[in-house]
Amino acid sequence: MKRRLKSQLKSQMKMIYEAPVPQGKEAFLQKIERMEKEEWRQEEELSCWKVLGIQIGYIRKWNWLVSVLFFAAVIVAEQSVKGRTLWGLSAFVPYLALMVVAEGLRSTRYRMEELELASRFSVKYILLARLGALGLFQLCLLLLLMPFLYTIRREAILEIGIHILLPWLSTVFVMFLMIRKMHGRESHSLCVGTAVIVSGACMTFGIMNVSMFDLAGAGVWTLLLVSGAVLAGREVYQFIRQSEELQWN
Amino acid sequence: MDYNIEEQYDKIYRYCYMHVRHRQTAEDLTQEAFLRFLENKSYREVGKCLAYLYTIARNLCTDYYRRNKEEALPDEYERLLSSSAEDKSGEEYLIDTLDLREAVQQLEIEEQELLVWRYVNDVSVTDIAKILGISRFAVHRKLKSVLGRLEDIMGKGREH
Repeated sequence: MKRRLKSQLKSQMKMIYEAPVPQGKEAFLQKIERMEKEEWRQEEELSCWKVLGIQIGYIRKWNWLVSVLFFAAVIVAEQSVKGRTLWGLSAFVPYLALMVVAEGLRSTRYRMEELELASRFSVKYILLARLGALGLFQLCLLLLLMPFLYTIRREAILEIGIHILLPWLSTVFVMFLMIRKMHGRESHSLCVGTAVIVSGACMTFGIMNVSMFDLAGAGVWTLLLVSGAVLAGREVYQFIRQSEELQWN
Repeated sequence: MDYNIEEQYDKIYRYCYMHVRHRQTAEDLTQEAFLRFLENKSYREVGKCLAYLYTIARNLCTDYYRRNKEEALPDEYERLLSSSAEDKSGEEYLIDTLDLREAVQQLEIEEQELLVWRYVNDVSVTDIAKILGISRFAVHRKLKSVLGRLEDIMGKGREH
């Protein structure tokens, strides 16, 4: 019985659950086709670079201005004030990182997250575009400073690189880690706190006139620099991924 | 893309019709399900589209049930049920189909839903598992249990 039931079940069930012929199928399929064509056309019009361009326009102007001013100030200071350690420069870098993170938190801070989640380009893409644009811009400026400082100071490029990049990367890592783990205004305050602590530590070493190689060997610093880059990259990736989960919720 | 809108339209429509038993409503729900499905492009790209489509249709049907709890069901379905077997040839086949139809009507709506997915719309066990949020093994067990119940109901019917 069971075997016969199973073998006949398909054809019989199809007959039992037969529905009347749908009336609006053709019209609906044509409508869908038109919608998809329109969607493709819009997607072609709004390419990835255009979205990035639009988002760059939404990043607050003073973010760019402060980054460029920092770059200019370092160049002027290095040419006029000789013999200062690089710790002073390191002490300012965490605040640049704070600017990037603050830009990433704007949606949450102004309670615009829900609106952005419902928009055509999800908050994930917006964050990717904004953080990518500002973060890469700052990183490029910092990397550009390295050969410049090398020509003036004649210090090891590794030392300059660590002084410039490590505070930025470590601050970005700690800040994004805190944002991911904690929510609300507390995380914003902790980000400011992190920038102040990293900056303060660099400043203290500068005042004490401690050489970075007195604190640890070149190998340890290199390892810290690489770890900082990997961890910061991972945290930014996780932060953006978490925003995608938010969309699903 | 592992779905064909034209092919899936008929299946989703049949599924909605099973629930609401009214042609126009079933068609409205089908089109609404497709529009919602097509709205969410990112989900279509992660390869769960069929399960997602059925989940939308299922939720829409559930919403329809809730809204129309008080209303009597249209008799269109009943009329169709009683007339569609008359065209089939072969006395035994006709009797079996009528038996099966009566038996199926005694099943719970969730059990009928499972039969429609698997045997009418040819939805794979993997996709059914995704729709219901259970394991493939659990789907096999449920199917087996529903078939067992059908067999019991039909057996009892024959005894009478």
